[in-house]
Amino acid sequence: MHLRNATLAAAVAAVLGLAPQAGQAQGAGESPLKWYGSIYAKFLDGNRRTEKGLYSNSETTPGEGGGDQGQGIEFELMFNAQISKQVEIGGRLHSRFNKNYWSNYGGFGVPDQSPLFTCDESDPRCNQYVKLRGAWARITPGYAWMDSATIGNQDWGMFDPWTVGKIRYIDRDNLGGVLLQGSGFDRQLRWDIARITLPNYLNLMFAKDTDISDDDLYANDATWVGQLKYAPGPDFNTTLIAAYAFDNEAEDFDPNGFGDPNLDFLDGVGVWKQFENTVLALKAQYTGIDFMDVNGAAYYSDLNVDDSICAGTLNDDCRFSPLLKRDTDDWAYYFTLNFNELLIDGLSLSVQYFDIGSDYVSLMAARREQDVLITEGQEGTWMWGRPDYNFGNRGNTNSMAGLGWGGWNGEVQQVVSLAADNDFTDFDEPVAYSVIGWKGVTLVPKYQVGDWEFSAEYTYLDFNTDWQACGGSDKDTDCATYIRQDGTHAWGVGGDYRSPYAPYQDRRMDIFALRAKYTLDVGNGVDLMARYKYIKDEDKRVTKSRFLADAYDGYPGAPINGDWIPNVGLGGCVGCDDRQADYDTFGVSAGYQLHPDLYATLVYEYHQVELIDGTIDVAPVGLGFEASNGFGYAEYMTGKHDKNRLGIDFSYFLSGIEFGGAIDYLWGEYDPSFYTDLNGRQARLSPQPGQSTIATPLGNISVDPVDMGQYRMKIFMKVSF
Amino acid sequence: MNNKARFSISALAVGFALAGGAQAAGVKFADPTGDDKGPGGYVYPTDAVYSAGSFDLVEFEVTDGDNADFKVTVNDRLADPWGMGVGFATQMVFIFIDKEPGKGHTKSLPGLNFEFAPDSGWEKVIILSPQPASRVAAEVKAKAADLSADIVIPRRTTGIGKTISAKVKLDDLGGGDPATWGYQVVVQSNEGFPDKSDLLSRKVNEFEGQHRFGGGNDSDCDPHVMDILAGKGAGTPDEAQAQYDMLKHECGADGSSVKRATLQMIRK
Repeated sequence: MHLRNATLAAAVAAVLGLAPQAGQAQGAGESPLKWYGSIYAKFLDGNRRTEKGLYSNSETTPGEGGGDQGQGIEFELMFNAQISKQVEIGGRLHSRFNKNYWSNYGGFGVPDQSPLFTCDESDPRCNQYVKLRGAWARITPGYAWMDSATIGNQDWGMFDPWTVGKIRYIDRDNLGGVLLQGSGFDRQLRWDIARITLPNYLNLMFAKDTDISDDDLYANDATWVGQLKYAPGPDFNTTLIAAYAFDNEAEDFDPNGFGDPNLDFLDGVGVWKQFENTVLALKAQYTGIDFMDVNGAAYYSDLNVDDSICAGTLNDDCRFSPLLKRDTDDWAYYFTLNFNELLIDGLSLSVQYFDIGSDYVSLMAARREQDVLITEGQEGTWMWGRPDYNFGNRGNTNSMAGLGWGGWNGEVQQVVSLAADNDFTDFDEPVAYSVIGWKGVTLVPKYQVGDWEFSAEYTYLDFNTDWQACGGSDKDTDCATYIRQDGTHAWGVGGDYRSPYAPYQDRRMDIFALRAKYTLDVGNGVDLMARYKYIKDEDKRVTKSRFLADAYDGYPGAPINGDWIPNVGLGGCVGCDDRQADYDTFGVSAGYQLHPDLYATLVYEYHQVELIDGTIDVAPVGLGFEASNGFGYAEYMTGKHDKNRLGIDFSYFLSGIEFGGAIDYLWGEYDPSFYTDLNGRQARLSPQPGQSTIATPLGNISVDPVDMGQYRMKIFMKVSF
Repeated sequence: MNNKARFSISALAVGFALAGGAQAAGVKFADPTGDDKGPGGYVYPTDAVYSAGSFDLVEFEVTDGDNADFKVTVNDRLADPWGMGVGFATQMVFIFIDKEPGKGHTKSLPGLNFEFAPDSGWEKVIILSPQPASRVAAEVKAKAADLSADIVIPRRTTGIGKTISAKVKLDDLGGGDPATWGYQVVVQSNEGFPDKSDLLSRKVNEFEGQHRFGGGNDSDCDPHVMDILAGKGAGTPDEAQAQYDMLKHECGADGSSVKRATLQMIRK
């Protein structure tokens, strides 16, 4: 449900300079300090029976989240004060969920499932302590050259999701910095300059164990960003943004130390740069034409990385990173035409062309909650939720960390970060998906007539990440520039949401969507909605036989299934690794105002995927530690997938309090199928009589259909005071 | 599923769309662009979601019929950055209706900080908000209970393109001919975390903030509106000045109101 985000955003927005009104006339002796806040309670239930946190999903840190059980409550206290006409301050204190179950009795009562954590009074995930999340001071000195200076924590939402995006909602105001803002030319020109301290998790090697070492500096790493907005009139505006992020490290041997490590610090220690990332942006919008608006933007990124940081191999210790591993530069563009009234009254059309370079890198780009393209993208229900299609290994914390087979109900939001983030989200929220490398065209017509609303979409997608061995001849070295993340953007159903790079790709995707809404004039009015969506996703992967041996080398870096007989080079069969995925979605819903305070929506959706992910000898090229269904990163999913969702969403408001909820029951089937090499072509493989499994690199896959089912419930209460 | 089935679904949808009939025209007003400055000096918040023109009223239309469509068009394509689910998020619009000149309420709604001239009192006001109708109703009940009988909250408000619209039954407005009514359309911003006295509207302060308008006063003596109808509602450039004149106000040194902004209804 999006309202959680909206209310959280509103709440944090408030702490950043909204309600209650600062600076109101105060009576004598009245404190200028205003206190306000919220209490948020969540109730989860489901049949996955996982209780690693009061969030449906968490994948980065097993043990931190990924739960469908329990109840908990958060307390948020915000404050601000107008100290003087020129000074205002504010801040936010918050106790966060994680594992603050009511059952843990304030941090005393719950045994943790992970040996890494205690979940007792000393564990911040469980002890219910209220913590300072952000504080700021805002100075409005009244100078002609500067309107304000803000020092402290905020969400940095004044910039742009392609350059410096809003910070993730869960701790939206954790990121600190200094922001100066001003204007000129009768406010036709507005400017922002900021130095934002770099959070350490945006380090190049955030998954490298040796990251924090004696010579690792992090406290002064930062992003400098400047923005100029010029709007000479109501019809035209343009924005120029420049951002520069850097990561300094202490020099091991200062030249003035004459090579003696015992002397090199005496006159101070020099620094070297682990990386520098520069992003430039130029945006413009023109609305002076009656029937059409135009807007567009061009972005250029430049990344310099010290060559000694990451090993020059495909799956090395920089595998998880928000940056590429070698020096790169690239461009990204979009150009949008909005025809506000096309031919007939009520009909509008948006056309967007976009081209995002494979090497476009913006460290501070939005990781979630912002959408850089107008396409609705893929379906959240198939986003990578680690459902364990084949084995059902409940004891595996990796595969159980996700939110399960049901996936996300919310929309898919496109981001240009290499660290798209969906941790600490619930199943009813949006899901972020990295679109690095996408290029194509989207058409979105909308038509409103009478009580009907119609909308549609067609998107043609090509990829700048289409290449053979990343443009070289050996994936293990020529793909070393590109982070592997979870390595599965075009594997299985949905694919992983943050891994745009495959060593071999020749992919095309089409998205076609229809949606109709109608309000039936019965009683309080029944809001009806129907939708249909079709996605065709094809990838020929290796297109030249000379690359087959490099791509399908028997997966020497992976702990593969011992029963599978390696088929190096797929026997020369170029078509044997071809992927073809057809996604169909039907959805209907009916919403009704049952009571002035209560609105409920009944939803039914049917999802189907027909997938061929190559023959039984094919697994993700360059497969590493993630091999095997048991691990849960890469699964065998060729076959037909059916998923039904029957759900009810509701919202209930009284003055100052809101209840909301989503209850889903999902059922369906995965019917595996198998393909093999028949005279150099991909051909259906029928199991022999009595054969129960077929060996693949990812495991021995049962030939029998698998019944899937999931029940899940989330109900929340939010009181604002 | 085969392609034949997919094409059939598409054809069915197109058929439904074409089956809709054209709407008869009711009454339409225009407003000049570039006057989204309240009384002349207001500026947008600094967060990127408040895009240029997004509070700039361009056109207001009421269609004919028993279930009239109230449409408000602004000078920027609507967006939903806060996930409200109805096609827009940052705007909030109040449509004040004067059915009987010389009668009706002269005070406005909490948080707007203006009043109406005695000959421009309102009998009904329609609130176009991206918030769920239940939330708006709860706020009305808590903050404007004395006016609640005359506040109309549409069952469904949507944003498409640049236009926010909602259907309202004439019966809910007490019947009559919308073409003969006077209107005042007030463009504000949806505030999900409003001040205790504000009806989901956003503050205007002296200095703009990330999520608050600037160019006003830190107290509540200034009108908290960005754009309204003015003049003859024809959209001529001089109507910008007419708006600034209408929203003139005076604040005391202590932030108290010396003179409230006083609005007139606009008629065709």
